[in-house]
Amino acid sequence: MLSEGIVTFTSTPDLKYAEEHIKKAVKTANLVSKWKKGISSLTEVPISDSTVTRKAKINWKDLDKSEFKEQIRTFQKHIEEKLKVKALIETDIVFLNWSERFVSSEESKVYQEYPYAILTLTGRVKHNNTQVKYYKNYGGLGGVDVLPFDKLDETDSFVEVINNLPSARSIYQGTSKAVLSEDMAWTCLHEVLGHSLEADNVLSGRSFSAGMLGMKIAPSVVSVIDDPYIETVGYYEYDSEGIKGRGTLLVDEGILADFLHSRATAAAMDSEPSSNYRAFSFEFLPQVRMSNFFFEPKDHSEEELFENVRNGIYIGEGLAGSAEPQTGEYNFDAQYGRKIENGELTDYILQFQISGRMIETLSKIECIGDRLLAQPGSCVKNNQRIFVGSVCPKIAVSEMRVS
Amino acid sequence: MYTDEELKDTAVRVLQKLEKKYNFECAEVYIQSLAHMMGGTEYRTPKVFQSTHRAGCALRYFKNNELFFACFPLPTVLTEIDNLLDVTTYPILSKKFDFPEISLGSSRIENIYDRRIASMNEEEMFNLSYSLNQADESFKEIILDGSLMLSLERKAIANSSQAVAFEKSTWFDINVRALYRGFNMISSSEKHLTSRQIPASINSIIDDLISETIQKTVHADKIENIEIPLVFSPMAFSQILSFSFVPLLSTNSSKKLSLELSPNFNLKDDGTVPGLPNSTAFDDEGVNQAKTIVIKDGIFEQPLNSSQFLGSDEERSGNSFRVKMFEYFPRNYQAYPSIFPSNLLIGEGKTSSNNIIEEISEGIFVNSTQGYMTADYHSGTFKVSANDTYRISKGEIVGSLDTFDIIGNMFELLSKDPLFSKDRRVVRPSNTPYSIVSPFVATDELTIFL
Repeated sequence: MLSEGIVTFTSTPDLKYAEEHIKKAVKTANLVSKWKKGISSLTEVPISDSTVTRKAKINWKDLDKSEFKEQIRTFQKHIEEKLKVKALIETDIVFLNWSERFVSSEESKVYQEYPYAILTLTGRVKHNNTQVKYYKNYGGLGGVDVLPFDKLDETDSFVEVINNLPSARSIYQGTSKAVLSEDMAWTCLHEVLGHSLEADNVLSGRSFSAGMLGMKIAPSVVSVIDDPYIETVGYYEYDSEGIKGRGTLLVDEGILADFLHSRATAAAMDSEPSSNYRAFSFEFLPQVRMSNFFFEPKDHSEEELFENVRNGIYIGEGLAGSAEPQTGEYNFDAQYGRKIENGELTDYILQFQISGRMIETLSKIECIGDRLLAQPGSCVKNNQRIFVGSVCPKIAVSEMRVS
Repeated sequence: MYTDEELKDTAVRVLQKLEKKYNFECAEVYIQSLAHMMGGTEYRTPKVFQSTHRAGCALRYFKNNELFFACFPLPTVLTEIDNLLDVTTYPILSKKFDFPEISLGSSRIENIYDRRIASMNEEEMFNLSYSLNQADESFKEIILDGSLMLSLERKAIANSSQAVAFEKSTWFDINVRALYRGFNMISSSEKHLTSRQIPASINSIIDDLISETIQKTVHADKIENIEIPLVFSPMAFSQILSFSFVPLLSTNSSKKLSLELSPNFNLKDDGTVPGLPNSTAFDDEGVNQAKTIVIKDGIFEQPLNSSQFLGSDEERSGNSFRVKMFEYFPRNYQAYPSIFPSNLLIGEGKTSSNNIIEEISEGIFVNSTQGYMTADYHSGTFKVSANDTYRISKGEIVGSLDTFDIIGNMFELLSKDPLFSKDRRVVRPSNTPYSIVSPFVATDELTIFL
């Protein structure tokens, strides 16, 4: 609720208490407005009246239970047959049917419903008596149809990493030229630059990008886009304040062109809402969030990226780490890496860390791959987790700090 | 809001329906009702005041010796369990175990329920949060923002042992942040405090924050020597310990703890200490909380357990909690019960933290670490960015340092005689559902990466 410039939020799981809580929220706004002048207003937007229902082509509920179990067994068997080392393999599957009904006093009405499916493969192997883990996500918008049961070859790269981890070497601490995998490029971009472009972070002093609008922050090869229409777990057509989704060009050939907005942040910064105000469920106050946030692909093939680096390292999928959008500092763990020698991938490298400052990392991007890879991802902001698409091409950088 | 009686009554009715309709061998009902009120102020962004209510029911049951789990919103649970068998299609891989006998005799812990929090209205809440604004106006160089959150959790547990456990708990959380006004806005300090009652004054927390923030404005010369002792604050040490060591304390992971640690290292889990952030009468399965000596004089004694993961010769430790990570209030009926500590108490040393620092000619004081670190509790290795650090020179803290990485191994740190201070603080590491009572810890077993 917005009253007297004060935003209040209330939630209840039981409609019978809704009226009581709404009255309390209005009372709260009145109380606060007597103490301090409200500062919030909303940008005017068109009224939405829409119903969007996406159905899975193959819903797991429609499958015969024993048939589905057999499908999973076949899937696991395929992986186990390709293993050349002793490994423990886990397959986790999550099906999610997410729906949201939005109604506003401005008479917007939106109902949207999407199915998402995520399959996570986790492998554990021994390396010098220490357990090493590697995992990879598959899936997106849809049901059983978007999982790799009919495309078993998609798991080959997972098995290849597992087969090579027991003999992988440790990394030498220092700096190196590097190619970042799609997932690691996304992790860096999302966690550091992405959160710094969320306008609520910009306003509250939690963004190193504040004050840089219109400035050149990256080489001209770099353009960055947020687009909710890519069919991943980050897909949606309306945000949680009923704004029709649209793609946003945030970095245009190296120039910071825009931030991600809600109606309130757009009003505060004299901009347009970008349909990024989202909550995972009714329990939470929406926040400005990314959807599918990625480097715009350019025209370099994978081989050209490795050839560009020539001698360096390939940085595999991300595992964990920390990022501070306020300063742009980050460190992330790569689940594995590979040496690049004479433009070819060679030895495997055990889990290692990359670190740096985003503004410096951006300046070192030399070329960007031509193919987007979309995987399921998730994002936590202020103790609220939502699903987002991990979407990105590979990128090549002239220097990356590794340890 | 549901009344206490409605919650208890619903637990019993759901259990009866499960038993009558499905004739389960063994069933458990867990009901959670949660109410939050949050108020505060944030620099340049709209003031937001929130109240959140959650009420839900989680079920576990055995059918043909297979374990199933489901959860429903409270308003609809009694009708939705008519379709329970359609919802719970796939069992959880588990050996058969018994849900605990719920004993009501000792199920009460003092000082975990503050009637003032439970009954606080909006006006009182905003009087409290408005005090943040007033504090902000008294410091010219610094902008203060932050939030206060009051939480009331009620939980009811019923199982086939025919008793209902019921408990009410309150929490008061304060998060405050200080930003420098006018210059270098990217520098800030933050503080978080969790308690079970409304503190007498939030001014002392703000005063600490202000003094830390001012201390940060003085920069020290860059450190050249990377082989120098580090002193960790209770928060920084707990943060690293929570990811690189704590997961080993549960029954199903504790085999690693056969290694011998420093005889100065003592660790116990105690969910019965009145007033500590995670003290409760019983855990989320209805097992009475206990004091569990996990490590004594460096030797592993007993792991933390749950009904599902209980060693044959182990006492129940009451450490089964339903936790959804990354939420303001992580205990959530939607999460499957797992083993977590309640309050971990690290044994104190003999020297005060001030004396430890006075004895160091050249070193670093690590006040806090940044973000979600990388740690592997199987090997004990960790890498973390230290973003709030100070140079120690000739026994004194002389100024702040730039962010650097710390790389080390927690097993080695704990086995090579770390120095624990006499003074301890209660902290709640971020993204964990438990608290740690930790001393300051000094060690020279770590590598820093400048």
